[in-house]
Amino acid sequence: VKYRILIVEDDLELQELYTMMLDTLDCELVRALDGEQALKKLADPLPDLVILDILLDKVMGDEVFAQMRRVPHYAGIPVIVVSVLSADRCEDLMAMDGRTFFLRKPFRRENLLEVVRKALAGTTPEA
Amino acid sequence: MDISTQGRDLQTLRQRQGAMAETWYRAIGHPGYVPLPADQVRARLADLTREVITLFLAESLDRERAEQVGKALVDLHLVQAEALDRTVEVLGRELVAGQPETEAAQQRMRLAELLGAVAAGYFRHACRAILGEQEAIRNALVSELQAKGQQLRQARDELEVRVQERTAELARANEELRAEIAVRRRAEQGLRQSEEKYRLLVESFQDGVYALDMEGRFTFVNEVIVQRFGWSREELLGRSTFDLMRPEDRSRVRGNFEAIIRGEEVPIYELAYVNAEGREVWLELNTSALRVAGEIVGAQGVSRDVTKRKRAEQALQESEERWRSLVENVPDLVISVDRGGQVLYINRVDEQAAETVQDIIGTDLLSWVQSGFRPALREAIDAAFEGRRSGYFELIASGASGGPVWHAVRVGPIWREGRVASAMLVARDIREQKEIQEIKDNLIRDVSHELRNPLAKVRMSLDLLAEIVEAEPVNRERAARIGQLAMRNVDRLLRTVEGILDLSRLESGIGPIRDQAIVVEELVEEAMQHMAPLALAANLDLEARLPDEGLPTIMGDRDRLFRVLVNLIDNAIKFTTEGQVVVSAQLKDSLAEVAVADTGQGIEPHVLEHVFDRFYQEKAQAEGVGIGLTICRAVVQAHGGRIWGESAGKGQGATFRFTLPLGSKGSEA
Repeated sequence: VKYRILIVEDDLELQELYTMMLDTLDCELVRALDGEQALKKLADPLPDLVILDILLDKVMGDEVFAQMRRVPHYAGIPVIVVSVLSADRCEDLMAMDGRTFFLRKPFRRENLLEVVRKALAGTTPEA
Repeated sequence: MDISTQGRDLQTLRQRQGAMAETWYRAIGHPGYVPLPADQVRARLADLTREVITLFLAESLDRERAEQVGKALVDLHLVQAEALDRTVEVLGRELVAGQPETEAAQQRMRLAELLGAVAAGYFRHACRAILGEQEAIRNALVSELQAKGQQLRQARDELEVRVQERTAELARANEELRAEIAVRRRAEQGLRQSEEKYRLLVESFQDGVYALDMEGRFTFVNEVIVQRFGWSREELLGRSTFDLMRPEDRSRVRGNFEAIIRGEEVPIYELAYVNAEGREVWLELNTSALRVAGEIVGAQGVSRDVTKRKRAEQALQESEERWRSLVENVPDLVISVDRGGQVLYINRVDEQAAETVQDIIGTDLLSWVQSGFRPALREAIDAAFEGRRSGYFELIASGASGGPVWHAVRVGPIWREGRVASAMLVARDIREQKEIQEIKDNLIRDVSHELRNPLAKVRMSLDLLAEIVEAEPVNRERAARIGQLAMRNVDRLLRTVEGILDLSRLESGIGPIRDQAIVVEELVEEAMQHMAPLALAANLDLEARLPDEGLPTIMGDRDRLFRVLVNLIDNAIKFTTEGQVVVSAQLKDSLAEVAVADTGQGIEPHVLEHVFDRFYQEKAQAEGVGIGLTICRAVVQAHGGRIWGESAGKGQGATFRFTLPLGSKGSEA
């Protein structure tokens, strides 16, 4: 049984970089290139973690986040917000809670792995 | 009572008469006063003089008749009053000259009495006609005069006794003779003084008095008018009053004059005359018909010099006009409101607005402001009525037709006589500033996004690359991929930095254009080579289409034109997800025309209009800062060419073309 991680990022190069960074983890990576895709891919199968960029096409990351937290079915999923924006700017845009983590771009592989581990602590992979 | 005392009495009487005349003069401005033309005056005076003589020569004084004569004399003009005085003086001189000494004294007394009676009638009439309400004063003065006459009669009786005594005392004849001469001199002096007094009165009279004949020619002017116009009395008399006016006023005033001589009442009016020195003299004219025995023979009136007031009024009017035109032309709105916020004045409305100034006056100013901003405006108006001036604050005005418009507003009090009369509001349209602010914000956001994103990727790539290189064995395939990723982003950063540099160049003009011979085919080939890696990364075909027969050489700035072409190709790649980008060149209408066509997302007509505008971007998210096409246009125009975009719409691809004159020397920008 593997953790399923949904990466919401409109930049293909960043998608590639994240994939390389996470390849040491035994995870299933699901990709969404904009907010609309992200909302579709959330439904099935349910991810254990979402890595979410904010500046997205169609539906912005903060809106994806807000919808996730509104729907009880998704509300418990931990989210790592990744952005070139500062943590303060992101907090203005979205209500960070105990299940929300922040990483400012650029970051190193070890930063990402640390936050992913922290976010996944206490969750068990979905069957 | 001795002879010198009597002389003084005579003099006192003269002075009294003078004072009464002064009262009469003051009343001349009264509309009930109707003077006669000079020839008729002379005839009337002759009659009255005969009457006076008849009265004088009678055994006893017919007081009633004397009063009537006095009244008739009053009916004559100012001039006639002088004439009367002169007549009486001549009469007195003749009487005194032709009589024996003693009889002369008697005659003088009778003359004095007659004058008293005439004066009483004179004054009574003046009072009745002009100063009816001053009846009490008149009665007092008349009885005083009568008392004076009585005193004089007593004096005469006493004198008679004395004269009889003196006649008996021939020894003192010489002395008497000398005394008599002295009295006579004093009497003559008194008469002269009286005449002088009249002249002084006429001269000191502040208003002009004039009479006109039926053609508007002067038949009488007083000294004031002579002084005012600077022409002599002789020059003025017989001259038309219309000659002295400004030509543009003549027909209007002639209309007035004709109404007057038809017997109509014309209100007081103001008029500019031109005096002998050519200067304007503003007069307030009160003119009415001049009647003789009920028949209109001309016009007469009183004029007052209002030049000073008129100049002050003109200055005030000019200053108000200046102020008004200033206020109406300032770009700001200037509005005054009352305590309740009702608009009292607004200098203008927007040209596009459907409302007129009149539509807005009387309305509630707050109703023109978006509701969220009303409390702040209300507070500023209240503060103004407490005498305080607000700082600038911003609000959105919602004109019924103009739509919401940002304004910077300041409110202050307008003081009148120590209290706040109204509040004045100055509002400046700051739409443009707001737009510029927004463009700036977007630009800063885009530029920072454009710098941060590729930098973040380069940084993350290099971190990963370092790890890969340290690991054993080295994953060469992955290292190469990451290296390319880093390179692409470094290139992208370079383009952004060049864009920013271009932006600063654009701020200071595009600078001098070099004049080099350029082979168009070579230019296209170089650009193709430069952009090939990017097209490859985007999985697009990049193709060149050049005419087989070749193209003539053009003159221009190779680096600049290369950048224009690269920019167009870069845009084409950026907005195309699949298909191809075709770069072509051809000779058309004696111009070299270069085109970059793509099969991308296309451009809608309303967007196409703006693509060359500075900082214009269809989406905030698009890569770049929105000045590439602006710079392309500046460069092409500096070469004497033209650049434009074509697109059939969304999803239909787009083509950007520019033309360059053949072999021409590039113009300086």
